[in-house]
Amino acid sequence: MIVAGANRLAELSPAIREQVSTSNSNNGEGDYSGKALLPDFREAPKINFEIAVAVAEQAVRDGISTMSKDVRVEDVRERAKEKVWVPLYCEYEYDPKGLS
Amino acid sequence: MSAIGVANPSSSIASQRYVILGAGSAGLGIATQVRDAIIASGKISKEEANEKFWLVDREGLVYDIGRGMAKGVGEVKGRLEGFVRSAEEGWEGNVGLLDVVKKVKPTILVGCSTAAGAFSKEVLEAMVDGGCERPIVFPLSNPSNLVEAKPEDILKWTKGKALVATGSPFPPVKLKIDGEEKKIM
Repeated sequence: MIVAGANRLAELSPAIREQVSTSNSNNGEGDYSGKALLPDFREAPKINFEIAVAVAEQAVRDGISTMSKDVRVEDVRERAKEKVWVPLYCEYEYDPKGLS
Repeated sequence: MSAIGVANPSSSIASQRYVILGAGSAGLGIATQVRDAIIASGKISKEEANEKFWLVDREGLVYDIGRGMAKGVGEVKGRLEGFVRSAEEGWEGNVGLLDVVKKVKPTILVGCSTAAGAFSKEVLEAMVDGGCERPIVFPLSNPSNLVEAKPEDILKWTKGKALVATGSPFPPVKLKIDGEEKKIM
């Protein structure tokens, strides 16, 4: 599962993504332009989600997932989206009478 | 994984030579995890995978000194097993990082030692001189003042060839390579 997560992170590397898009457009050779090996920290929520999906998919493939047995690899992404915590809070109104 | 993909897309984690400075829980954890990932890739056996790693600690390279003991770390047990280099490789006395790099010609150098400055100019130059076109150098120690080498220096000493990642934050490096200015993140 850790290897699955690491491989997914590597796929999302700015340096690798650039390499893939340059090789698709001009048949191979391109010099490393200095792009970061790891994604920017600001992209952390999105990247973390991708890694979580990759790890969960591997767990399903390995048969060690604790979800019900009828969950397939293809279902993991949707299931994961339902579980993502988003920092959205309700508006609170002060009530001077309180709980008394 | 991304560094290997950039350095040599046709190579893999199984075809690297890893020198790790620091044989404590971090160094051993990294060696074990990467070794297991190599085995999982199915390309080589566990014994062959173990052979890809050279661990260097305070007293130098960790190698077999007989009777279940290893140089610098004492009794060999737990995760250390498998990573102790054979004495048949010709090691003697305390073998420092520079000598290890010269002899082993690593493709990947990892630091988790808190030995500030341990990745010296000589060490980086030796890595390049050993024929490594794209040295992968990860000085991971925290905090910043304990880092094995600053990215700026690593890139300067390897003329922009190194692929660097760190454990502490460092700003992007601007470097002039072959007359062209590049910004390395």
